[in-house]
Amino acid sequence: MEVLSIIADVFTPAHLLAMLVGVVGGLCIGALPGLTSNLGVALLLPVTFGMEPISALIMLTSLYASAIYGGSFSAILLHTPGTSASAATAIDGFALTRKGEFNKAIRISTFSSVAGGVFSALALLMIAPPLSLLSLKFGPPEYFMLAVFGLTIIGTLASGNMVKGLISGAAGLAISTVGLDLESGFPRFAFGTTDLQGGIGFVPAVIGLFSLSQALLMCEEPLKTIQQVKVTTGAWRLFPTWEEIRQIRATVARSALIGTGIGILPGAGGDIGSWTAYNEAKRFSRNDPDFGKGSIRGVAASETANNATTGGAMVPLLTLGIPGSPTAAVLLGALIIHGLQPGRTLFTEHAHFTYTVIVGFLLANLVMGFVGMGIGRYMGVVARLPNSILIVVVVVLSVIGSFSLGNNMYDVYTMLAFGVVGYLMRKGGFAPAPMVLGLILGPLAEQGFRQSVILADGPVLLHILGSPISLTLFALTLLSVASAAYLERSRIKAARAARL
Amino acid sequence: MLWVNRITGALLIALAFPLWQISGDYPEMARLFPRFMLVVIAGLAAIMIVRSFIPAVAPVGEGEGDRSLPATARPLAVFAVVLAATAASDYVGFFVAMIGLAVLLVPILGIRRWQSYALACIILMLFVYVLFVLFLNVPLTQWRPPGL
Repeated sequence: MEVLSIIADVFTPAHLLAMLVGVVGGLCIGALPGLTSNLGVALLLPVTFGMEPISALIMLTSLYASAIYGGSFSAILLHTPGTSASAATAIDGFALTRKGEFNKAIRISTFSSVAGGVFSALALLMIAPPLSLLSLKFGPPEYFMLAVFGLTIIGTLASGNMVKGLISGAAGLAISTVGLDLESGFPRFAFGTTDLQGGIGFVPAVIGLFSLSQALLMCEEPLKTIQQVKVTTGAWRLFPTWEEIRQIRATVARSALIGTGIGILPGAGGDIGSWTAYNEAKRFSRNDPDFGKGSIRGVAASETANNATTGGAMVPLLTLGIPGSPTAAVLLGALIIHGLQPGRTLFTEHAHFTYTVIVGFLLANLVMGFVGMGIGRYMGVVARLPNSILIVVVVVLSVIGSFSLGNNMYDVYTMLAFGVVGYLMRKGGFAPAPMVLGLILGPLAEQGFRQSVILADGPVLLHILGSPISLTLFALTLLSVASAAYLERSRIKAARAARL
Repeated sequence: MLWVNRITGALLIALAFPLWQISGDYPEMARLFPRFMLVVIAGLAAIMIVRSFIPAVAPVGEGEGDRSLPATARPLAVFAVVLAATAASDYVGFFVAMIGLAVLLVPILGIRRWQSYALACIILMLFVYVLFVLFLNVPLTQWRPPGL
């Protein structure tokens, strides 16, 4: 009966409307080169404040899934990936467009994205509840190590530069300490101002770091326009043919597994998933002369995997509170804002909420396919909007979005400060995502750290590493740092070799 | 880019010292975590500086966007205008300030096809009004006479 009530809840008009808004918004944001799913979720976050939590999370997760899919439109139509996750799609997708097979590329991309998204949603439904049992074994030391591990993995693997990623994450943790100390009530780093005593708002900081910083980066090339490609669409076919499905079914199945698996790994997002799946598809398609020159298997591999990472990224997010991607970090903030703490309680006390959101996410992947095919042929118009228009749209929405949080100017100035800091960080090679995660995980990390210090009977480090879970997390942290150092070293070597 | 790493690293270390001093006034448990993070940041900043002097591990080709100074001037000018418009919105009201911002962005961004830009701005303002004022009931700042 509970299952039926969850399904019925998903189909209420309010939730369906929230889903549709998220899907259409995500498609537009994904299709616009330069605008990412992080930016979209950050901008939409203030709008969800007054909404009930289920509608809010359905809207945000729908936007996340469809923004990743939306990136394929500009990749296929303009050879300019809307998001980094669609970079691999541009190779075969654009080649198909040049052959006059734009419709074919879009319908394969849509079918694959839906298949990847639905598979990952089902995986989320199956894996997350048993995995959440693990969170019951967590005490203060484990929570502290979990925060350190989450930050390390986002700071090292997802940011490209290990030391800078870690600095960004550590700065986020440090900034999270601004405001009244919850135990002593003592104001920290407030410098006598009452506004700072309330702490740094997470949402204005995220809007600044992701959205305003992107608008400022786009100001460097305000008149950039993308060359229009002559598209011969002919009759618009909505569904792939049986022959096309037969050709791509093995690629889709393999890529869905790869994408979901990579999505579950904290820090590894859609771009890593799509490239890995694309390379695997290439390996399995040695006899396909079209691969890399307009093969539907190439489009299917990339698009299945990048959408499969979305559900995968939510597995560690919902069960342990570790986001699997930068966008999932913003979703973690959304959960906390709506009074929900990731972990076992999401699957027990708040089970109705959690399962409704997951089923909503599953349905959103299907809705995304229908909406995408319906408006696909017109997406080229959206994708060619000049930067000058996007800049003013993002700036105005960032300002009003921050203001609407608490109807005060302090949030707007916070957003502006983080916007310029985010811009300078990105110019200097510091990824903003670890800082966002630091801001979210800061209170959890500090609480775990302080309680560990109080409970330690001897050296604090030995107490923190005293349990098998902490020790495993510590080993994983070291492993992530070591692998990131190795990858960085290889990248530096390759860059130097290319220069010579 | 290496000089950026060195300057940023030095600034972070320099910033950590006064913050460490300030946190000395806090109760013992309240200063523990911030100080721990300051040490971590200063340590990582030192590693960043050292790495920039070792050719084998010095990072290559970091950062987003254009590297030239003029390219950075435009975003900073846009930021200054956004900041001014935000401050002005408290006096002239949100919509007047945002329209002013959109107008000021025309010369800064070098917009020539202003008709499509103006149309986009009108649609944006209508969207903001419908969503935030009518639907979400956000009390946007209104024009207020000087002295009030």
